[in-house]
Amino acid sequence: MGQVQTLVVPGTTAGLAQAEQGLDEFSARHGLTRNDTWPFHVALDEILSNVVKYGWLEGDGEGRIEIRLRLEGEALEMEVLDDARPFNPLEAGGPDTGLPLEERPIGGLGVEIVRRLMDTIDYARQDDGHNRLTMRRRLGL
Amino acid sequence: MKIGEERRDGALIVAPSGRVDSVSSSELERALVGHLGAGESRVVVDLAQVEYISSAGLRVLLMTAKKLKDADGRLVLCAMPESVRLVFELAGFVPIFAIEPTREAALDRLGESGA
Repeated sequence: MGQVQTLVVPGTTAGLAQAEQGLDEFSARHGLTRNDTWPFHVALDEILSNVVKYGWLEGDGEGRIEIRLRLEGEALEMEVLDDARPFNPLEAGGPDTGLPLEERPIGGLGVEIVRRLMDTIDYARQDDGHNRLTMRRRLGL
Repeated sequence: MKIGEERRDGALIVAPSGRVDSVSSSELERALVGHLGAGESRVVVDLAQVEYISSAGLRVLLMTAKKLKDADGRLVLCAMPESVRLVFELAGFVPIFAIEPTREAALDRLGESGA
């Protein structure tokens, strides 16, 4: 089992930019190519945009997002944990109302892209008050 | 994000480079909205230097295509790298846009009557 690298960023748009940079640094450290990592950059952009937009309400204070990266053989696993209220980023933008993709709310379109880019993606609510989204994709496809 | 701009055959070619995502897409939007506001109606967006695009970037391009169409203009996208092409496909956006492999083909398409 590969080593886990953890990044912690605030639940804000500035935190999203920091997370992308953290993924760049992880990638450089492990000799990953852009072809390997771009799907994870897109996933971070889509997921964190939704978490930042919908996760915390007025008065919740600044949230905290943890990103865990683990190389496992030919695949990269990325977990996004946040301390927001129970909230599944995969459901952002509301239920599928049968709208064509291009007319879906921003959150919904981004989620569709991530679902299709990743080999697997799963949401869980942890007992310690965190949402956890776990996604995985083989590298270099 | 660097945005290259060039005029050819009466068309405007806009060439963003780097990542077109929630962090940078507003820059691209500002540039395109500025040009449309100045009356540009024949626009090519050359994506050759784009590392990847997220839904934020797709939204900007969709908005641009619609605004141009409303003004009897046209948007053609060209030179998509694999990463960009894949996101367009996964988002179901390929049928919505005019997409060409090269700048030349894009300019030709803009030049077609009734295009």
